[in-house]
Amino acid sequence: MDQTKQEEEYGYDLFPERKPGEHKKTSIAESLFTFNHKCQVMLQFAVETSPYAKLLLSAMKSSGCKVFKDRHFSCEDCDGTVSGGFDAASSQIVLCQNNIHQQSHMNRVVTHELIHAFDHCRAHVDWFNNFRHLACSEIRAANLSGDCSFTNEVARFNFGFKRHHQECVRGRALRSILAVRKISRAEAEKIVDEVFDSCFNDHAPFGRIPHSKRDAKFAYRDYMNRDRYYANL
Amino acid sequence: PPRACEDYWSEFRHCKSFKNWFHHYYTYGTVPSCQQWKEDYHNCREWEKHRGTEAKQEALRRSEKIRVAEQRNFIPVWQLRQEPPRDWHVPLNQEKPQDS
Repeated sequence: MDQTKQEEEYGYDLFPERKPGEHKKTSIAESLFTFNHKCQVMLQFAVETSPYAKLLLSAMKSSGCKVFKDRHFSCEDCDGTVSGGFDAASSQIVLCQNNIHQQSHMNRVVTHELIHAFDHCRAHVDWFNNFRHLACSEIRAANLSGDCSFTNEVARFNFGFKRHHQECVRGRALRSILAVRKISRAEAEKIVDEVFDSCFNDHAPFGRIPHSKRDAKFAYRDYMNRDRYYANL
Repeated sequence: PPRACEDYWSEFRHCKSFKNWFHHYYTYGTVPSCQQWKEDYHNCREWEKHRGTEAKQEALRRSEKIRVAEQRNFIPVWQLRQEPPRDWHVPLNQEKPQDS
């Protein structure tokens, strides 16, 4: 397949540092005082302290996909306002060092992308050809990562309350799909509608929709105790 | 018991909190019901102290089985894997350019 066409079709043009075959080498000066260094530091903090991230990393390890920070995460410059992505072809989570400036944002992006990685690890997700699979993972990521919390929505000037979470999840899943694939809005909406009920109710590995750190901590506790739990049912 | 009894009590307290009420309404448009956690806590205490009858243990198990079933109440869009993806750990420099 033609390289440029492939890049555009699968959203790779948003991640200009991902051209196949290129590997950047950075000087020590570059690595200490740049967005890249800040990204690495925030990433380390996220995987060590966020209960969302810790649960996902545990679950992936149990599924045979142990995550190594140096291998499976990459801090890069990205186009536009995109914050991150999951590259199934190289099994890497991309973090947009030029667009993530706060720790809370980093925590959320790491959680969001780890959900994609978790789906990739535990299921046969056809990222490139099956829009239903892509939509499903985006719905789950928007639902479970805290992307659609009330405070995040208010910060985006989306004021809604009763059942607004679901509207937000739909909307963000739609946006994510339209950002990386060339299909019409109407088509994307149809696909999201088709898979919404199934994917919105799939809370793996959390066992609940974690709305707050407290929820996530409880979910992490449940996950750590799962052997005892299932043995005593 | 499936969980430590303190876990049931902390879930009950968490369920009753304003924050949880808020998040539940924000997500589902309904108010959460928390009574089951309290009941489970009491049944758990009976179980732990070996005071409980078989019926109380069964009641707790049944309550948990309902929770498990609620989490599985959907038809998956994709097929689950039997093994992790083969290229998950393949080092980066060895990857061939994509041809998909």
